[in-house]
Amino acid sequence: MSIDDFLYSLGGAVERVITLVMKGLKSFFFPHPRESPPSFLISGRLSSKYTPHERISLHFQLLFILYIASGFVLVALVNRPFLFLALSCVYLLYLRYALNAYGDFLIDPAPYRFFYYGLSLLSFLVFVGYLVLKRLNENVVWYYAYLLAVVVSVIAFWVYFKRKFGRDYTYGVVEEVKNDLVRVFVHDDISANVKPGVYWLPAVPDAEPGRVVKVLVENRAFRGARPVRILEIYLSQSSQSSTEPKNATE
Amino acid sequence: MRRGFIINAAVLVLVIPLLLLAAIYENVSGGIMKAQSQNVLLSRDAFAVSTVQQDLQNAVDLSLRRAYLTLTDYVISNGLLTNENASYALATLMLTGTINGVPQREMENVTLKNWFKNFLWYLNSLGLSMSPSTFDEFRTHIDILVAPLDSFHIVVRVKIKNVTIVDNSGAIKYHGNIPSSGYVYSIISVVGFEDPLLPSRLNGLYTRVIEPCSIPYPGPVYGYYNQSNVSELVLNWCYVGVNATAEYQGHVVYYPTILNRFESVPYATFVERQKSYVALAKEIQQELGIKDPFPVGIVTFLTPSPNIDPRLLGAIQGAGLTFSPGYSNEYDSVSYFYLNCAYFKDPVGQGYCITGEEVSAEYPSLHLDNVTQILLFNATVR
Repeated sequence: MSIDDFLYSLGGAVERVITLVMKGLKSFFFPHPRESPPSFLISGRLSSKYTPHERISLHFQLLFILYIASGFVLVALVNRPFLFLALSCVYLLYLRYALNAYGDFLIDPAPYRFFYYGLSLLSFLVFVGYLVLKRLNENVVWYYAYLLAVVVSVIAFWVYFKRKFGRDYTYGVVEEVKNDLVRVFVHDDISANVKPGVYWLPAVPDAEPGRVVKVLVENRAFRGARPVRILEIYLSQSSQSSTEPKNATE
Repeated sequence: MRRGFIINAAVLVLVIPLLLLAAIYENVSGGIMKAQSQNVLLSRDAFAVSTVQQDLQNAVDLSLRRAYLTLTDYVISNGLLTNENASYALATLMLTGTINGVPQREMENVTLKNWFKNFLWYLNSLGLSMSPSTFDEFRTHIDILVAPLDSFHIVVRVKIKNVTIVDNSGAIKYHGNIPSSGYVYSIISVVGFEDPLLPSRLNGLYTRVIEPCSIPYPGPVYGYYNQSNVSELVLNWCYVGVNATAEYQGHVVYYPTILNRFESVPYATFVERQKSYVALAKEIQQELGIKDPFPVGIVTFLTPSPNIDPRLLGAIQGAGLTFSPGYSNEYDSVSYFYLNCAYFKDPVGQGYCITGEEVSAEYPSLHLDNVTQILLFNATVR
């Protein structure tokens, strides 16, 4: 290989790398909805029973928990406010990117979007407020007053979320019918606050495997809601077909 | 079965205040721990600094006593100081234990140099170190001044400026002066010590110990001498404190302070130094809050008469002192001027030689000048 060729290939490689980086940055800062669901490191390892919806939901949860945990470490334990601010910037940008790029894979993205944006911003403000309080070197009483204010605002956020997006029902897919019980797969639903999984519910007429059902949930304060019984059976599967587990559709 | 891999959203919301609570708890308990450890450090430091001040006070007390004794001893055996002034000599003795660069054995272990060394060692034992860290640096940080306080007392004023005490981690534990405000003062009385002037001028043939007379400070407060107690001045060989500067009919006499008695300098230098000592004395008297300061001048009287003090006459003759023509019989008996007049052989009116008059028929050889007479008797006697 001649020197010329080598240099040309080197230049080409550099050009490619730069284009790639620019493209990556562009898609990071100006995200477009993606065509295919992402593959996540941890949430990608869920059993195949779960759809991209659950994977993305878990991804956001894990990210958020990671964010507040490292925020706690940086703010409370090692006292590195600027590192925390940098982390917050990266996290919020990534959240925006991920919600834009993959939000459409969620069954109902609006509550998720509102919930994670709101909660992330809230926790960011909580940490910043704590830093300010610490800088002011105030009496302990102020810290507890601040804590109280945070509890109130968090509950207010939750109440507002519930009023705006909350439901007392969710949707599921009948997997199996056994005597007077029906096994229903329920998707992760933040509006009804239901955990994903299969639930045994009292049987209703017309419950056949593969059918989409509307499930009544019982709300429990600050705990996950529990599906109680089937309210309705949808004979056509138009609205939910794309999100059903594979084995249910086949 | 459903798996609990996703936390429900409500719990997620509650995590925020919980973490905040943890952060506050950490902060508060950390603050308490920090405050406690700071308290411990503070009490240790306060202990160190107050101890240092007390220790410095003790060292200065001891050092000044020993320095005064050493200088008296040195002057009597080696002659009066001719170049450096006594205030500086005493300060140097206290600091380094040397006179004219010669170490004095008597000052061993009581110099401030020694104290500084011990102090460094003490700080090291506490895990602290200090700047200044060498004695040469220390000399530029220490502010030491020796001055007469009044006729019978000498005062020293000491301050160590800009001391920084640092612990092993580099945290500053003390920054400021020692003592933290003002000075450390030490006062010694010269009563009971030998007068350095007399033996030095008289070749060691005659000596007197400084003892105040029955009216140590003649004046409106303690009263004046009169004809009937002149004998005390003549026979008791005692010392009287007088105003350092006195004037009568345009004639000014600058009486020596105790520090001037260590020096042998020409009259002009004597006046200059006497003025500076008096100014220092005034300054320190004010600092110490003395409302009615005692005078600073100190005099004693020599009566060279074979009937009264034959040893004195013999000593004067033995020392080979002679007077300028016309002064030998007109005794000016204020010891300082009398001896220096003979020693420097001052011509008339140029300084030491002051003409005197007979004060009492009983002691015809005691001659006092008009200014001294006013000071002692509130009147010229004749």
